[in-house]
Amino acid sequence: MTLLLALFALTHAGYLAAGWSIGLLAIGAYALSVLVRGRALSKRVPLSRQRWMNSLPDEDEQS
Amino acid sequence: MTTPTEVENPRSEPAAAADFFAVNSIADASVSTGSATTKVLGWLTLAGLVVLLVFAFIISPEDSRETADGAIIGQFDAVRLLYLHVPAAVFAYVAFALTGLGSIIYLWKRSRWWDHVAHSSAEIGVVFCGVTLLTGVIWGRPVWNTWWEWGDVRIVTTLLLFLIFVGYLAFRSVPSEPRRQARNASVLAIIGALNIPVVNRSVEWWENRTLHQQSTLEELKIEDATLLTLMIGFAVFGLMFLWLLIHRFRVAWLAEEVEQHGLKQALRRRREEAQREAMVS
Repeated sequence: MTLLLALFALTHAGYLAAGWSIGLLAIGAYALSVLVRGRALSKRVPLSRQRWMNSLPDEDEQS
Repeated sequence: MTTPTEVENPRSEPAAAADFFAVNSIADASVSTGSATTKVLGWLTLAGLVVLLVFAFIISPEDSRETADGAIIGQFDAVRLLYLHVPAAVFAYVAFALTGLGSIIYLWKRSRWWDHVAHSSAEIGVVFCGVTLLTGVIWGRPVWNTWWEWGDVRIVTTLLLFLIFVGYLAFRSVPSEPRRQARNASVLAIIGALNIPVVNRSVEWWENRTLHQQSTLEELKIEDATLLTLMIGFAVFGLMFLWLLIHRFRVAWLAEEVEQHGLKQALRRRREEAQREAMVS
């Protein structure tokens, strides 16, 4: 609320509201899409295979 | 060179569950890419964002100064877009630089881990670079009296950087042989990353061909609350980048797991069909 009141009192308030809201909404929407994708994929992979930190060589190099 | 049928995936485990693709059928399946670390990072990012907003809109001063003849000039409150635009730009550079680094290591070590890091970082970089361009357009109108200036080298080189990595993501989204795609994408990413110092230095190299001012941070032309707010912006975007990178990396990892098991299932089914056909005949 205080932030909103502060925004109305500023010069170039429209540009500030547009810039900040577009910027934060874009990042927020992207973050949400990553979470949704992760949630959908997580349901299809057993926990035992959700090992994130292994650095394995490409299978091409194994052959 | 061996075919996929001849290669046992080093990650594979004995007899993968037959119902691997069945949603909700795995008893121990985690339902998200979150972990204790990402939860802490996420809450820290949100808390930092609130602090950033308070500093950006309430605590930091407007940009104004009095000239010798008594006129008041400056960007006034439009300067408050600085705290979003500059951190987004800097972390777009960081993201693309990490993509370049990951690509070099992938080409060197053939590590799929680094390929996932490169791919994930590029996607985040494109989002941050897009935010940089959008906020730049919006900021340019009140302070330069123009939305866009094709003659400005910083704007044009940033757009070029953005388009290169949009192309990189488009290339990676086309179905193709994974190793060849990763190799070619890595080369493209390294070429794209070479553009980062050009974007960053463009205001010094072509100082007469840009509306952007030269670096105010390097020469400490900003100070006090403005500098502190900008530093908070960097910290918040750093946390945000890390949080996004961890989650996006895990998405890439899971997608590969699903893809590899899809291939194995199909091969197993084909072998069983072939055996049945052989027995019948």
